[in-house]
Amino acid sequence: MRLIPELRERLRALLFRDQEDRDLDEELAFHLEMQTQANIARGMAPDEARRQAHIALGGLAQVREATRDARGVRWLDDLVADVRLALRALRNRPAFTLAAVATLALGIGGNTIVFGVVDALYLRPPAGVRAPGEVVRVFIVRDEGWIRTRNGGPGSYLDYIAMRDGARGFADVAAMVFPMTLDLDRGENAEQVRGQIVSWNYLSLLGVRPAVGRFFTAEEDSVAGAHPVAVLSHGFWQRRFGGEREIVGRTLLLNGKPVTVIGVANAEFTGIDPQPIDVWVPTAMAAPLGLMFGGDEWRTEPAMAVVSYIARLAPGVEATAAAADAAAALRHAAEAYPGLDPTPDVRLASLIHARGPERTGTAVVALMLMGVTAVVLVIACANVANLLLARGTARRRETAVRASLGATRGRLVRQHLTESVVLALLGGVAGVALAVAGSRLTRMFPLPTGAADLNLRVLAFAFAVALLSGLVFGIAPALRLSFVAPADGLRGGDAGMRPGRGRTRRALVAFQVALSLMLLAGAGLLLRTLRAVNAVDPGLDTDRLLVVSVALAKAGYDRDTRETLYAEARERVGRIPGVEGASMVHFAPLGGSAQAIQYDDAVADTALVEEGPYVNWVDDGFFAVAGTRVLRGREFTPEDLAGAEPIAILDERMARVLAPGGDPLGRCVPLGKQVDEGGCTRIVGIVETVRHRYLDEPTVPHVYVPRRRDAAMPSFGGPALLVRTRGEPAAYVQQVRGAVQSIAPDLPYVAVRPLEETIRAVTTPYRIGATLFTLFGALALLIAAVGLYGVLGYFVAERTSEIGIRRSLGATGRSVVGLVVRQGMIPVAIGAALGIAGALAAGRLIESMLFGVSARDPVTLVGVAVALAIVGVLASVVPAVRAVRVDPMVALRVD
Amino acid sequence: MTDHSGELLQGTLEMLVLKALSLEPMHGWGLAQRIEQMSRDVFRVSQGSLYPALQRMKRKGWIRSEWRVTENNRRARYYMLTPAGERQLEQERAEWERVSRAVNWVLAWEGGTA
Repeated sequence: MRLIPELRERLRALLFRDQEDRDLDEELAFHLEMQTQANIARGMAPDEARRQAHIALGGLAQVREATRDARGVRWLDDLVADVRLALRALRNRPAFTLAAVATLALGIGGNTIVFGVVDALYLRPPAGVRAPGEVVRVFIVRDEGWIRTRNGGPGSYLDYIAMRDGARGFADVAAMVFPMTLDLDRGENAEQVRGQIVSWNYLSLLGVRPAVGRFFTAEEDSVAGAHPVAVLSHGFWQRRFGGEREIVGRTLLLNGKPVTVIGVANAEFTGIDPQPIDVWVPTAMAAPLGLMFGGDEWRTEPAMAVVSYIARLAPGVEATAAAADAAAALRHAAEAYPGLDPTPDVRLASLIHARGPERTGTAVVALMLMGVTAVVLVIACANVANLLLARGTARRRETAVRASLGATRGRLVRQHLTESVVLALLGGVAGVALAVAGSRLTRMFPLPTGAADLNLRVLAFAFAVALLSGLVFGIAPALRLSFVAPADGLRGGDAGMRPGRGRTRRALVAFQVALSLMLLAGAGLLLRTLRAVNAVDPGLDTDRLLVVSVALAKAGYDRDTRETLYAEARERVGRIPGVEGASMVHFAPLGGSAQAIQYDDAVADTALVEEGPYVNWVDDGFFAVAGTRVLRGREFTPEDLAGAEPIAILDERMARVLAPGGDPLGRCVPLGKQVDEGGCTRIVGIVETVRHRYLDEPTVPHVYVPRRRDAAMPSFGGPALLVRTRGEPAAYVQQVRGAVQSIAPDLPYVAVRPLEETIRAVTTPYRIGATLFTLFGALALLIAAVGLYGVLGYFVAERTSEIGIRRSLGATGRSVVGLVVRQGMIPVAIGAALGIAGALAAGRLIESMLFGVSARDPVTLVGVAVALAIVGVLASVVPAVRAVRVDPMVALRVD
Repeated sequence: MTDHSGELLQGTLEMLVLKALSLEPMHGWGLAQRIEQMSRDVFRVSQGSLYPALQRMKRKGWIRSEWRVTENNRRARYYMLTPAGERQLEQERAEWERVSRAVNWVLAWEGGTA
């Protein structure tokens, strides 16, 4: 009730201030008029009557002021006045303003860019989920047994059943398998889509609504293959089917099997992981679609840890209680699973992917970069504080004048702070502009398009950061400047300076140098890491290689037909002009799949085997195509593939395992089943060691056997056709796909991917880390250098007369330069020492991102310190030269 | 900042204004005259403190104002009570009576237990 008139009055006071002032003037004039007349009526002379009326009122100006104050908007008037004053002051010093705004823009812009990414990764729950705060990801912790997931990981389908039936803390729990690639349709219309296997209640648990049709029923998720159904995502529906309504009931060919579309999810929901999903299928469809080797066994086998879970907490149940309850349910079920950890635990995590244990390397890098840009901003603030302090020297007189005219200290502090905040907001606006211009940087992160674009949240963040920085860098100078005894300030010249005043500024420079050094050390370490990752010899020449795969087995082709088709594909691709060679391999390089092989460990150096050995199947000419050097012997020939004698090629590591100190070439050794059943395999060649998994993991010994004749070849993994091109491989993708498609009209999707792409995916976090760390580190260094330059510039200006005296007393130019540079290098040296100490202490934060270099790498630290020293000297030289040029006569006249 | 006369004065001034306006709408000068009459010799109300007080009371929603023409055909700002102002006056009067009864009682007290 009372608030409304109050608000209205204040608003009126604000909006119609001029009108209010006029009304008040008229009212007071009326009052004086009436009083004057009354006084005259009492017999006073008109002049006296008017004088007495004024006296009775108590001074027109005071009444006017007091009444205005009573309107309650005085602070606003002050603010407006302060802002005007601030803008005028900033306009009067364009160089200072430009330097400060530019510094802040770099700091705030960097933070805005990285915050966009952090916001997308860490702060936004997946769209389209009802009450996402109630939904958790469930991870199972097993410390012993066949499956070990110490940090929490996937479990089996049976664990899902156990939690669904036994965990009372969950209102509902759903199962899902990591997203997979599915082949949609055949022939020229074929494409690959991202599919996810989910339990029937997955979409309803999340509270997703269908845009058309309906979602799965429990019935549809029971017997394997009994109900071939799928739900599409809205985006996929639009993209592939133009959003046509008749989609429900339509049959699609997924991995060669007909599947009926029963519904489309609403537009908002694209899955709960950053990468959007195209198709959801129930768990009962996983085996029929050929997504699980071993058929439907995965739903009854307790050791098949391929299932992840989400759950909605029951109303009023705490997460910890729900986790304990779910763990109890799992332990109860575990009694029936010998060989598995009998006491599994449960860990609950946010629905936001990056907040759980599955967070990617890029997400970690994003968080680290948030820290980095925060540090850059701190450096920028230190810099502006420094500029303000330096400038304060020039403004002491102005402040003193205002103080002696009666401005209170609080009022002065407020005015200085207003100036800082105005400066910071200008920097914020420029920073946001910079962030827009630099938004390309966010595209380095593997995020859905537009996820990290500027939005209201990011803008609000930028505004808050600007405001906060304005207060942070403004408060010390404001307090300091307002503490001017008028007499001191008015005296002017050097006389007003307190000795040692530059100490704060030099400390700020040292602080900036220390922080810059830490950032640069991080950048140096990440650059060395990136170089180490790139320098890893994958054992093949990755530059111009294409990996071609067609899932013929999944599509139902029998073995003989498959081999005929593959042979034809190899033939046709090989004829494309510009293709230097093509050969088949079962597990494509860096594909991540592998199969172990038995060996006779009685005569082997088992100490060399940490993992594996693994077996891979290759055709003739594979190593020539891959660019893997054959060290001794030969690689397989077409005749070998047709021959009967068991033969194999070893990589160098495996050769050392099988023949410690000797050469296994030409020997016949038992491998695989031969170890138990007798027989041996002739070794016909030794090749260099190839990395078949990730670049940043150690190599594993490998055995290669001819591909076509081995019945032990697994059904999963391959095969793939490896193609070497003469030029840029991406340019051949269409041609190669066309050549393979031309073999038969209804082939499944022909996937053609440059191997470099796969490698890039592995190196992305390293590349982002190294690039952005270097960028921000350089930025920090630049800002610190500007800060040092500024401080020294003022140092020279302040001591102009002293330098003049020294010069006129015969000091050489060199000694003056030495004086200035020494002044500059002291804070640099102190800062560098602190920075090295800080970098050593903070090394652990970055360790997980390093590869092939220690967090305390002395080369990096010393190198960075030297680079900083050089920058320090450069920043000192210009002011030093200016000091030398000081004309003694002019200098002495300065006062 | 300039007014050091304390809350009693301000509160009292507001009550006097409310009391005066409860009789009829009035302009500032008229109010000043009326208050002078009402509080003659008790409070010395400076005419100048009247206008800020009016502004405050307007903000609190106790009074409102409008421009009218006086009997002498002059334009003047008239103030009048709002319903909230009437309630406030009632409340203040009750409070005042309670306090003054207490004061009277204390003055009349001659010892012994209450």
